[in-house]
Amino acid sequence: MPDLDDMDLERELAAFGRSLPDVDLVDAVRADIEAPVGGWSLGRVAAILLVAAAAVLAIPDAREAAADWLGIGRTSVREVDELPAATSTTARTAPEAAPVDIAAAEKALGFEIALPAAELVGPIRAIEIGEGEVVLTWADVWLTVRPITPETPLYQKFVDSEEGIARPVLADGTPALWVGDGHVIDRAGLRELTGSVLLWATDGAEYRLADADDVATAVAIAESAG
Amino acid sequence: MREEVPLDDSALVRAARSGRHDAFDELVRRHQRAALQVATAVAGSSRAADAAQEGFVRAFRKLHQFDETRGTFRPWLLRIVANAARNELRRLDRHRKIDMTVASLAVAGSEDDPGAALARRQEVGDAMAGLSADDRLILGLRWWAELTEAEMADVLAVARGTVKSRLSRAMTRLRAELEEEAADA
Repeated sequence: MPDLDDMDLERELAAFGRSLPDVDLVDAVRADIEAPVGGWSLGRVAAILLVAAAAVLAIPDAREAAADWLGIGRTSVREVDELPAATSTTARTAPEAAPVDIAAAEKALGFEIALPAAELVGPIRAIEIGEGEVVLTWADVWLTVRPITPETPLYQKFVDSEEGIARPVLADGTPALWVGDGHVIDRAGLRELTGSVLLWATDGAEYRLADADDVATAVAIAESAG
Repeated sequence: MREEVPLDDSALVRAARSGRHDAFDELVRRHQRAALQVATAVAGSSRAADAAQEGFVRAFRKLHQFDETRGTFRPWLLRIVANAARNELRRLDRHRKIDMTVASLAVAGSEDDPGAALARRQEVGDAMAGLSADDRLILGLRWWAELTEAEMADVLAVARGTVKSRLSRAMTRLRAELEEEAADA
């Protein structure tokens, strides 16, 4: 953005600061200061698991605008009064004979994939290497991994503003975004009705976990990734 | 219980020193957003919560050192948080680039293209991540935690004139990072 003047740059900086998530540290700090010195602290664990309301909900002057849309990585989520028409759904079955070749997938992406713990998701059933993304499929969930670069296509999700199904959360300290069941995703003009996803971004990659039963399950899976 | 908590930070500090943990709860509640912003600036998004929490715990243990005649609580606290964040950074892999991730966006109504705004904001995060911890801290204090120059001088333990010059240099380097990103794209 070399064409930004100083005012624009300052405005962008301030906007980035407002976009940072809130975490309620009160209980975690209290647990730490009441724990015996040198003892194991539950507070740190609690801080990671405690998820406050969206940062934007805590910022009065940003509240109205933030109700419009949220985003993470190369995906934005927009609240709308009426969902746009979808031409299909993302209902999905793993390919019958897709090879499970992590090395090939990581080579295609150019970085290591932070894999969820096998005890939570079971063995990988399939890995599909697509253009600019990799999809890993387990019995109950599937994970799309993309690099976050200026060339990565921007995806747009639409959620019904009355349902309030999109909300920022934290997964092991990493900002994440939960979007509940029944929203529409627009990928290069193709609009599909889709189920729940948890989006997070780490180490320059966007992770999209789909079809977890609920936000707690999704966050647990995301936190196990590494 | 919360109705009984005094409103002034210094009064809360005095109450906390006397054993009122609920008074310190209130201080955490008041300043946790700024603490998280400062911790993010120094240590990155994924380490911010741990660093901010550690900062609050250290501040609690140092409450007896806080001198209300020499300044207000917030800069004193944020200096401790910034140091905790630096330690967090050192404790982990210091050579690994920190992450600055856009978690949510609040966009002015005039911005019709959320995708472009999202990308632009992440570019700023990426450029911040390319700066030194000192530059990130001073930019975070000014533009995220929205401290005054006097408060920033307290946090950094420098003169106000030094704050101005450091802030100006950090902005210049941020702009250079953005230009470099644009050139690489």
